[in-house]
Amino acid sequence: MKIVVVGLNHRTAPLGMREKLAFPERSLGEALKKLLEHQHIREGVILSTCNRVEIYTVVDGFEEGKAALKDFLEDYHQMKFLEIEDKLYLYTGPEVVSHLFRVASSLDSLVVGEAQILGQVKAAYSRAHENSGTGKILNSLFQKSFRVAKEVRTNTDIAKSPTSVSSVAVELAGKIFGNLSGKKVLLLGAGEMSEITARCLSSSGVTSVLVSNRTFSRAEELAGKFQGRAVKFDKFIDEMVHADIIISSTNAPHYVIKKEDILNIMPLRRHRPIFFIDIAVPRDIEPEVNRIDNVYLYNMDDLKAVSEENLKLRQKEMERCLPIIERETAQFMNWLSSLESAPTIVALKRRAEEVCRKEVERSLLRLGKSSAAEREEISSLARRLVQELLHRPITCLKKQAGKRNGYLYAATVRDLFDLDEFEEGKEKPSEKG
Amino acid sequence: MSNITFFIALALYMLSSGCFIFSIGKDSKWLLRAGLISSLLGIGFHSFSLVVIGIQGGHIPITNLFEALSFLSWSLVLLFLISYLKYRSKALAGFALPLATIILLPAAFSSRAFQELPPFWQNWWLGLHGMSILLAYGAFGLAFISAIMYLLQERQLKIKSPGLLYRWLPSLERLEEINHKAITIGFAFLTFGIIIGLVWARKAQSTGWSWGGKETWTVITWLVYALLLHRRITSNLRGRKIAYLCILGFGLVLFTFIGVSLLFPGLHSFVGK
Repeated sequence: MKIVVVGLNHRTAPLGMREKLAFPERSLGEALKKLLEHQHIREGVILSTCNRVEIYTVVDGFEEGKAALKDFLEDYHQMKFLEIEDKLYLYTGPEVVSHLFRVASSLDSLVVGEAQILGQVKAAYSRAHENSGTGKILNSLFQKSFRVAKEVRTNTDIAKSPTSVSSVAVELAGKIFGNLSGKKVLLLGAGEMSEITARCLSSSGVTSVLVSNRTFSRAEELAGKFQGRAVKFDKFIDEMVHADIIISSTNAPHYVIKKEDILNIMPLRRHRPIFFIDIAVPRDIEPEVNRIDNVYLYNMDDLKAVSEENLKLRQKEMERCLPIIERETAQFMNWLSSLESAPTIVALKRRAEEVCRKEVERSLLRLGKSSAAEREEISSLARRLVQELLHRPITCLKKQAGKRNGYLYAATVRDLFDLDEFEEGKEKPSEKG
Repeated sequence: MSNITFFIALALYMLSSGCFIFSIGKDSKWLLRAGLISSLLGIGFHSFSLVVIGIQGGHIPITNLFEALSFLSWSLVLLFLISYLKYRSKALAGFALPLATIILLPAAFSSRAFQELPPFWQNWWLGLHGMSILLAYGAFGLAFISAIMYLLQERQLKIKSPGLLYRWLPSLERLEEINHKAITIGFAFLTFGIIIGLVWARKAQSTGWSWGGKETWTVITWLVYALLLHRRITSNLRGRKIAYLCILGFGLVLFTFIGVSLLFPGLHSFVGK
């Protein structure tokens, strides 16, 4: 039994090839069935996102597994394996484990630390689970990967500084206004980007949204989505007296907001701070506006620069995540190797001896005075019973050792006799779901 | 006894400053906790040393430079700790404890000697007058710190390359709020202290107001903070300009507190120098 992953991602293959190898959501169930039909593949999970396609499997042996995966890919995607071979990565053993942990923790993502991937891994896992693609090993592996991802996110700053343009804008607003509840947003232009940013802001507590657009009906439509208010385009300057955050994305070829406008409204605002986000190209707001006291202006390039800085920070933070991944990988591999027959037999015997010793002691205590011969007889009776009972399971385990289902026997025995709990210092990955 | 506790307090403030400064850019709960605990222990020892001085000398411990510096530092730490209950700002801690330590350091090297005070000094009026003015100075110190933090954060936002400081410092609004509260409290204490001083001068010496160096500079300081509060409440002074005024105000405080005592000897000079 071996764990193997084959796949490609944004670093190894161009988009075109990733698209060719992708498994669309609706036919994923069918693909899983096909994968599991292969005689050497025991378990399988297919993770297919726009940045990566990966097939996690438990196979009988490395060579058979590799061949089976190759067949499956050629067969399913109707292509020659040779065409893609150099773009694929193929890991086995501990490399699979640490790879999955890195993927789930978003360390392998294009945007390091992004939150989506964990959801995608979870979805891929539950699809496989529904289709009976997962068994003892992949269940444990994926369950553990979710916990590792959570630990990485909470114990490091990998996901802390925002990297998307809209979340950078929200964070900046937070550093200016502190609490965003009760603050007003004014959208100039009803573009998609400003809608996304406004949505981010309103989920961070901004309560009222105003929309102004040259075409008034579009302003009304967008304002409706936020339970906001539409404002005539020639009146928006007046609204800036009350609005705190202005997101501008009009198609105007010239500046819509000039420095004088702001100089005029600042006294009316009693110089309360105001935050301009100019995401229009060409720009809507005269750059000089940023020089006015209590006025903060960020355009698209500024926001992108901040986001790149934050991304660098996350990459630096990766160093702190790797020890967690390493530790957890080692732990999982420990558990995995305990599924081999030999250590299971040893553990089973030790467990039996333990039970035997405890019960004999108890009996002798109850009996009180007894002769040496009686005592000897009692303990040998106990030993014989245990040996007789365990004889069959142990021969069976030995016989199955190295066979394709061997680990299942070992796993079952471990479950029946609670051996993981019994063995000190070996944490057993829990199995829910 | 008071000397030992004084130095223990100083050491604890240094330790606490170190913890808070060292925690910049790290999300270490451990450092933050160590900083807080040592500042709490520090103020405990510090209070004890002030009380002992007061009991031994039979006066409120603000009569010589050593005592006054010590009391000022104490009120700064006290006000910071109170503010921490509400704002939980570790960045503020990173400024407040070092400032308190810097104020306390020269005290370590000043003379502890004090002379017997003339009889009219020995009453609660002096204590009330001096203490409320020093508490006001402590509050202005806190306002000064928040003003500097405001300017740093404002700069980070304006130059658009938010770095370590940007992440560490609180939001502008929060800093303005802390600043405003500190100034309001400081101004109230200062006004109260001045009035007490006036009433007492009339009672004890029947001289009323005398235009000595300290009195004049105190009035100037009072005017600056009055102007600042007035402008903030009635009209539209905000942001950087307020911050600059706070820094000017605290400069005046320091000058009035130390400079004037050395330059213009008079009624308010520290005794026992």
